[in-house]
Amino acid sequence: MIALCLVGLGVSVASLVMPFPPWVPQPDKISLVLFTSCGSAFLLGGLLISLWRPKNKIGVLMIAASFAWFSVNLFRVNSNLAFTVAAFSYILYLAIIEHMFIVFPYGYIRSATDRTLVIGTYCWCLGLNALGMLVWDSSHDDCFNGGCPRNLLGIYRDPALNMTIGRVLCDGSCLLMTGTLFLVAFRWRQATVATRRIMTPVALGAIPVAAGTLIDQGIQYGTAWPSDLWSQPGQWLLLAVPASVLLGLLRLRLGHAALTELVVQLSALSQGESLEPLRQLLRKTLHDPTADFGYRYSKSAPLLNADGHVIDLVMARSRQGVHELADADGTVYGVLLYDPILDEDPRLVRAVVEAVKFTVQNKRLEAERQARLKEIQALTVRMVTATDAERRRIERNLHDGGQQTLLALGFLLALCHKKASDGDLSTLLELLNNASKMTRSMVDELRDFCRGMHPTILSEAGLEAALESLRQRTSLDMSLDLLLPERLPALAETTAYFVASEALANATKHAHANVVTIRALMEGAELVVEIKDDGVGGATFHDGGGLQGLADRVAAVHGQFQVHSPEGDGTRMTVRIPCAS
Amino acid sequence: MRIIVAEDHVFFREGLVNVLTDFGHDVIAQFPDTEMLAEQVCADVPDLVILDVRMPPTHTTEGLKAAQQIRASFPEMGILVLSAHVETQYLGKLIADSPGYIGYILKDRVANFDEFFRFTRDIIEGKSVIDQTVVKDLLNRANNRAALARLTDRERKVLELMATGRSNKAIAGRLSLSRRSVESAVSDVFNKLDLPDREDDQRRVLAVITYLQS
Repeated sequence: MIALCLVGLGVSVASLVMPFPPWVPQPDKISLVLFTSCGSAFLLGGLLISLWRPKNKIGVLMIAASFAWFSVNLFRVNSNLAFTVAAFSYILYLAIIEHMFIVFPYGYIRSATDRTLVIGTYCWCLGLNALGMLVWDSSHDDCFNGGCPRNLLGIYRDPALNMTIGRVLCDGSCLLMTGTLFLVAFRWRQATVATRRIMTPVALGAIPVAAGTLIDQGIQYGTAWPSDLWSQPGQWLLLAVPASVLLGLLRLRLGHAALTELVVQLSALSQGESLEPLRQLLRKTLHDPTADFGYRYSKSAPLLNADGHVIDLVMARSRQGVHELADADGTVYGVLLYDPILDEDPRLVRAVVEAVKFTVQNKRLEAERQARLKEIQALTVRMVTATDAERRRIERNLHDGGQQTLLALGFLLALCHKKASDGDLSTLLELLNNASKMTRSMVDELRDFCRGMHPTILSEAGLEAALESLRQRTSLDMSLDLLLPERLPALAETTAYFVASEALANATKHAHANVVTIRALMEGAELVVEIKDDGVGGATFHDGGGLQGLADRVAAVHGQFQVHSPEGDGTRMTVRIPCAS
Repeated sequence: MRIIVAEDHVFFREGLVNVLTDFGHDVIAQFPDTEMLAEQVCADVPDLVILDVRMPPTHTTEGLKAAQQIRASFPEMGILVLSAHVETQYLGKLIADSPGYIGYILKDRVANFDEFFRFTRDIIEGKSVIDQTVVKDLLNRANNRAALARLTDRERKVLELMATGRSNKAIAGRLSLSRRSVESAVSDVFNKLDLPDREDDQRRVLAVITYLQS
């Protein structure tokens, strides 16, 4: 780059101080300074853009235009070769400027039309010019003051043909320049707001450039070829090229200044529910009214924007620039959508993302926290209700079972007592028999009841043994597929057991199943239990229902509970219980 | 005595029927719930219906509701409501609707045969029998405390016995007081509780109970 600067400087100085040979008309000082300034402006602009945006080829193009511009000075060298090169390349700058307009602001060719236009422009300028040179004898035909060095490409002398080709070239250049003006205007109309912001200076700049070209070509038209190339009256209008391109790209860069404002405003943003203020702020900073962002309330939720609309990423990617906001673990929790033109300044996008990231993340965490809080509150209510229902169940169980039996036993014994004291032994034996039957039944009842509360085998021998005893007691065809460590944390064992026994009770009572399969295994630090039956299916969650009770029970130990129960096709419950000790 | 029994617990029902039969009573029908009860009562009117408060399907107050239903058609049929624990929610209305012929006792009492059969006899003779535990429970209710706080110990004891359907004479015997002192205590109770004086023995009890439940 430094070498390029030095070369450029050398060329500019040479352009100013190099003596004019007799065959070149001496331009006045002002014209010469203007000529040099114009070329230097291109060079300087090109260097600046290359420094800012090394990837954007506009800078390179502008430097190339500058060298093409200065190549006119080769006419001043007393050498056939230099003269030939100058004659060939002096018009190249026009083609390069058009090339720049066509590819602005991206710096590269983006469509087949663009490619055709660019190649056509180069072919027109250079090809036609070369054709003219074939029939041009510069040392004999009209050329500057006459007595020029020889054009090495001249193989046949035909001044009339040469003149015609020169005119066509002039017409063509004017046509191309006007065409480019319309193309830029059309592009501007089609462009998004953000793109227009950058294109406006260039679109406006194209007007003086086209005007300058028309003026210069008009003057040259029909005069001896080539005319005084250092004093073209329209040349100063070409200064609009580097000025407008620089200004355009600078406007993109001006967004960085708005970043400070964004950060200040973000910190003042209210912690309310609405995300609209944040979106407006984003749009203002990026100067892009289409800018938007989306975020998820939870990992599996869809991406929503501030209006609550679902964002389709595939569609968004086809139309807009997309930047994903991800957690440290790579989970995408939000996206920033913007005009793709802004990708021309990736640092700006990156900076905005970094600034907005934490606000979006905060909102998400807040929403998550709220949702979780609601969930826990609902869970607490359900747990209390369930506990209450359970107490009532126990009370009724004791009241309807044990207490009544004991009362009956009480007056049966009183009756026995009366019989015995009356000396009536006829029915005494039968009564005593009844009494002992009641006692046995009472003991059985109590044992079943206690097992329902908490099976001893579970605490003594573990989950596997408890499930095995469940299998032995059920009337269903039940198979066990267990791959478990000997013991697991008590809470995990109890939860898993109750899910299994409740599922079994459901399969028997409600699903009318015949076959039940229980699988249990460890997946990492998680206990996974799957209970499958061939019953009627269609199990649903409802408050106070058995399924909801199980789900709550599992949720209370931070586990996951899934039920798949299509109507008429069995029920499958899957429980995952964390067992990290 | 011709008796119908409605009780869902098999052992208790069978035991009760055993006891009733053994004491020479005629159990003409027994039910595990109240579904067929009213129909059976209409078809073959008994002297006494014994029923449990809690019965299927909801195990809450089916027995009391059935008793109210029977009472509506048969004002002078004996009804004995058995309860495993104190249940007073619908009891007030049942007692208020009954001109006697009503009893409400805890199941525990059945084992004391003498007491139990005295109750059944009293009921079919037209008296009201309320379990003492229930009366105590009512007396302890917070909303009555202010009024009851004004009663002396003697008046309170008299009230308790009065509420179980005892006559002044019986109360006097029980508390070793003269009949006159009991009569004056009873009139003090009525005054302090703002109860209008009635002649009828049973009305007296009902008035007290109803007041205490309000």
